[in-house]
Amino acid sequence: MKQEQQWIEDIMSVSEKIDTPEIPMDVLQRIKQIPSRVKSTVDMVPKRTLWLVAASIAALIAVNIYASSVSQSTEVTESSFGDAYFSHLNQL
Amino acid sequence: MTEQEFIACAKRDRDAAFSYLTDTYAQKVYGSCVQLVRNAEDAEDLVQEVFTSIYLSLDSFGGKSKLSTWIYAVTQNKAKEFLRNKNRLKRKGTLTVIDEYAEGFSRSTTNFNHPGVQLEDKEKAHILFQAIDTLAENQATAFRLAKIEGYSYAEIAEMMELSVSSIESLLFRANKRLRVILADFYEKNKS
Repeated sequence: MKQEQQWIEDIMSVSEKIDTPEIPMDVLQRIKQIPSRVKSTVDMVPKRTLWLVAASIAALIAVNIYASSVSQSTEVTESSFGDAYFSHLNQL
Repeated sequence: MTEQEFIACAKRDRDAAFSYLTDTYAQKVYGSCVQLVRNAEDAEDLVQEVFTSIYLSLDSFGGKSKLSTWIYAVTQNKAKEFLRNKNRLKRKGTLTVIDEYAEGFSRSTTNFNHPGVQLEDKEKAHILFQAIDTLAENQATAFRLAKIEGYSYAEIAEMMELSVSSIESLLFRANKRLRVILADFYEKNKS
């Protein structure tokens, strides 16, 4: 029993002897370089290109909206012409 | 540096604030990463992911909690994500590793070689880590943070969002349970 208790105490006491592991120097260096790495990633796409893409998408959406509104008004015109034609036939 | 001073510093000079964080916390975060992913090489990758995430979200730190608590929360989330991704890769068969991670934080200690353990204590530490893994998750977390990573009860209470007395109680139960588990292990391996 005493031996068992001693063994348990030995195992439990290991937790107090565990050192915080040393971070490798190269890893620490890489961490310190994170700001410049992140900035270079952000700077990889020039702002001018980003604005150009945004403007192209906006123009595309505007053209689509314009095209759909024009096609709707054409349908209305065509259907009103058809109605007038058939009502004329009915009168005959 | 207090939390409010840190926020002011981050607004003034983001890179200087980040430099302060790396100088103060890189060591501790690496220690937590080793404990969480149970592999020194993975911990090296993870600690970089943690600090990248910290750098990108410096603005989101509002000073409501301590810096150490915020950093530990980021570390825990990143570790969970890291383990989940590693599990997914393993299931797909694109990654072959010998040690086994189960879902979340319940991992096998089979190949865990903690870099902070002295050579003569390796075997004992291996038994202790195995015993810790059989504890309830919150007991294991409290024990690990207090006994292995050396955080104060107050810090652990903040990290785990519990009161200091709850942490004391968790540690008391963890110690008691560990002794039972170790006694059982001793009985089975006596011969």
